[in-house]
Amino acid sequence: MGKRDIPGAFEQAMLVAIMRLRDNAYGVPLRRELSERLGRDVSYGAIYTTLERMEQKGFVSSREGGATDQRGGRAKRYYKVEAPGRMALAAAHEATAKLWDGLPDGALA
Amino acid sequence: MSGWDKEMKGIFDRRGRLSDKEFSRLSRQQRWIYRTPVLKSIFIANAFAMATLLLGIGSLARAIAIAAGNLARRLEARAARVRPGVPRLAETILLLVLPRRLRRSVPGDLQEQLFEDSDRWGLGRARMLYWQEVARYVLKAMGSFLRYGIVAWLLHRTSV
Repeated sequence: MGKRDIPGAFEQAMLVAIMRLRDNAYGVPLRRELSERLGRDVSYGAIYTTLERMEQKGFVSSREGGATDQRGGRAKRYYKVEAPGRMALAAAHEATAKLWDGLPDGALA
Repeated sequence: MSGWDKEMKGIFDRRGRLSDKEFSRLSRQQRWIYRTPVLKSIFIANAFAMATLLLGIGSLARAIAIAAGNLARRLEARAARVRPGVPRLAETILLLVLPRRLRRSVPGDLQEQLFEDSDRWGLGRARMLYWQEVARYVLKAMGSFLRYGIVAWLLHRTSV
């Protein structure tokens, strides 16, 4: 797996959020989940730009789903993490673990 | 309707099925009508016509009630779809910068968010947040426009 295939911090957060939300991973719950987990406001622009980039890399796939009156009759776009996305996330997790490995206790104190 | 007519109607409402005892109580004229198939049919047909008319009126009234109910539901659904509050100008600007494949999901998400925010903070603040999201989206689009040029941006915008 090349360097470019390792997802960035926001991409990792997005992949985890999609996996957490399972069948309900579309814009509004994704934004709520990310804002809560990251502790900051996340814009839809950032979410969809990242999702599009990850879709191009093959990390996620999307499909159009149901619409509700509350959405003005517009369809939701549901996202799902694909095998390359899971592999990339595992690689990122491993890389982070290696980075922290061997750091003496109290180093951050 | 005369007494005689009522009596005949009573007889033929039972579709002409009379017992011997009942038949023996009929007058000569009544027996003559009862035995003449054409006249008997007319009486029976009248009874059927009356019943059909009543059923028809009932069905028509029911159909009108159902149609009125459907119309009310449709109007209610339309009112829900075009709930006041979504800033139309902001939505139009958003649609201009969105790629084709996201032109339904992103405005839908923003609208859903607007209703959530308006319940939480009121419509004024919710509309302001809607505008803020659109502005962020436009800035992102302008960024890619400046970075990749107009052709790449247009290709991206029209991508399916």
